[in-house]
Amino acid sequence: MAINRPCGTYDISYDQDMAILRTRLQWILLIGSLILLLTLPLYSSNYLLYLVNNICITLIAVVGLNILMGYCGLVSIGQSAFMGIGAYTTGILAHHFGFPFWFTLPCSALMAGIIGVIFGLPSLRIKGFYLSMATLASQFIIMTLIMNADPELTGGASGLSVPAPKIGDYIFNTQPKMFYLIVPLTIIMIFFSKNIVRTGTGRAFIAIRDNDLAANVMGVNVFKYKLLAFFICNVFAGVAGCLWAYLMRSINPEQFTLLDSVWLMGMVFIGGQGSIVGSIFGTIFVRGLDELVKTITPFLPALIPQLKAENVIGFGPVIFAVVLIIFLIYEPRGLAHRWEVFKTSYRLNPFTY
Amino acid sequence: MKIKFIYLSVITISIIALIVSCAAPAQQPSTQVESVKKPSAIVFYQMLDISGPYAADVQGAIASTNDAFDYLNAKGGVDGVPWKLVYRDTGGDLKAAIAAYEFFKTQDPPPLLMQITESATNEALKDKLVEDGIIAFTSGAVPSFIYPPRNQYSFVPSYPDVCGYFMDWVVATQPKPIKLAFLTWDSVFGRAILTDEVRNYAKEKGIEIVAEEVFGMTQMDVTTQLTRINDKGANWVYSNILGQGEAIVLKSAQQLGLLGKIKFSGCQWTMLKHTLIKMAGPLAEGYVAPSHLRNWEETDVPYIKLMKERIKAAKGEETSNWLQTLGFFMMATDLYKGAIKEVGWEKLNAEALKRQAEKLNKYDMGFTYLTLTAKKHENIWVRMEQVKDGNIIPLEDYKIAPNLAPVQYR
Repeated sequence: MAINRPCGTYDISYDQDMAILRTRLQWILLIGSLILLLTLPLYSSNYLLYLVNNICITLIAVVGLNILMGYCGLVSIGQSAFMGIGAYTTGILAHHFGFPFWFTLPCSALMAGIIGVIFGLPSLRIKGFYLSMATLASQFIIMTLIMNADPELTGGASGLSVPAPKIGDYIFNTQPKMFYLIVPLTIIMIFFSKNIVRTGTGRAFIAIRDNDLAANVMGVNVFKYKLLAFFICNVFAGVAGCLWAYLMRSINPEQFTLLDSVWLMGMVFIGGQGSIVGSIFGTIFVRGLDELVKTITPFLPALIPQLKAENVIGFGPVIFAVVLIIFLIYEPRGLAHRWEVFKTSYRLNPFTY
Repeated sequence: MKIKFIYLSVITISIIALIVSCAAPAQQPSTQVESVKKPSAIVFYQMLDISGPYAADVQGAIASTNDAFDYLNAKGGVDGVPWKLVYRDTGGDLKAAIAAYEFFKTQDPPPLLMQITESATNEALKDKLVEDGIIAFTSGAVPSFIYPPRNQYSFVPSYPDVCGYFMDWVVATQPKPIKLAFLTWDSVFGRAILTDEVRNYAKEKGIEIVAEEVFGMTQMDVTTQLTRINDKGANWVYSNILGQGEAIVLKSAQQLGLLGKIKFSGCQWTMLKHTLIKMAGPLAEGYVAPSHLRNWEETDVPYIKLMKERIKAAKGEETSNWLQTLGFFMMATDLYKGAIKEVGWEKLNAEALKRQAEKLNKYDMGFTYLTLTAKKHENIWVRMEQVKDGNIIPLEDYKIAPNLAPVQYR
């Protein structure tokens, strides 16, 4: 990394070497971006805020999944179901027992984390496709249990309505208010994930990903760290699920489908595995592209008048899929890699060698 | 260094410009439309599953809506104000439907009346519709969002009521004992009939419910479920699914040789020509189901005659969507006219529209009758129909379905 730093930027202490932000310019950009982000509700529409809230919740789930997949080299095709656990924990605690937000949030995170550990147990013996099949089972088991085990408690197929979150007397019942709840939590979760991968735990994850046998020989407790990775991943999913329940104010099993789990994995791949920045890029890219396609779809019949309107409108998902395929062909290492290439070329400018 | 700062400045300014250009002026969620003088158009915001599992049923929705607006606008729209359509595809995805709702909510003018077809979407939005002062008409009534009465109205009877009507018919006309099995979709919509009210009504009528089975909306084979149902001795199977689902049930029954042994029926959305008969073909012959819909063969009904002419001119297809759309907007036009007469354009809001809706008593929508009250936000009119020679034939005149709403809301 150091070789690519701009001229005159060097470390003179270990603290500087460990710092996430190294230069004054980076601090200015960070503070500027935060000011811009946090003042967004002042000049933006409610729909844009809804999109930002939605992206932030998805981002938390994707970052958690990236810790498991990108850093620890494990697979989970049940992330959406674990979001469901978080959402339903919140729903049950808030709907039936009237618990407040500050209580339901950690409970949701913890519940999803603990159940995630149970489904992570097979990871000691199996990996790759076999592990993905085991985690795929979690998607079906969890959602079937939510729907059927105790419909009185979970609302069965109809689901539960969730009251607006409250902190003290302040009720978060609009998109701008939810924005100020969701965005700071997202920033905290990203900061937490960024740090976790720089600690001994993060290095253990990477060692397991690169070669679990070698990691074991070096003294890394593979079983412990694999389960820890599942726990952290699902804590993130639990937090995302809790926020989702409060944003939607109504939850039912159809909000946490296998397709959603697949898309969460897709965001990790598109952003770049093993990169927190990649998770951010991947989430924004997929959600942004989806939004773009939905916006332009009603105008397609005018562009292709030879075809029937209904048939042309159905092309929306096709456009979405084609763009993704083209993207993956040209940038299989994800957007994070493209970002690194851009930064490197920028730092070396005007000497491009 | 200088070049870097120029690059960074350009990027920062571009990002700010992008965000500012995307952002509309700050808006607070409006609970009522106030100070609305006569608008230039009544914008109807429609979320549709054009590319997902409901696509077969939604087929023609945009063309039929535009055609309905052409017809109504030629007649002066609402007090001289024309209808206009804005829509979004949801792909059958609940999250996309919720996003579409949030998008519509922030549009100018904001929606006052919407049509939400999917049960799961209705379920998810039931409280938000009240908060946002929007009323929604739905083509599927599940008790969990219809009761307690909020801002949603259904122009079809609720699924438990329809199932109850089927039980009345089967007890009155079919040999006994009736051993009934439910084979339904594993969704909010499908499970709407699995209620205590339905089970108790069956007991009251002397019907034994021998099995309750579910299957996925995209599942193409239900032989496993049918084998279990057969083992339990069922002689009738009732499904709360769409026509394409019923076709799969009938094909699976044929594979098992159960078609003569067990009789099949389902909710009103199974009895559709463009799905059930098209997909099941001769297997659908003799199929019976309760339905609120008139049929394309009833050409003596002026509305059906009108719709046939319009479809011919628009090169549309005789689908349930084409059948219902104009009738729905004729009713919506009358609601708006009544509300404007009562409160004027300035004070037009969801409450005024609700008052009009709750006055509808055996209102002829062309494709069905509609009765709504403050206590019952679902239609009550239904009749039994049968497939004969590839057509749907009514077996009787419209009757009132039994009220199987949750006991506390009757």
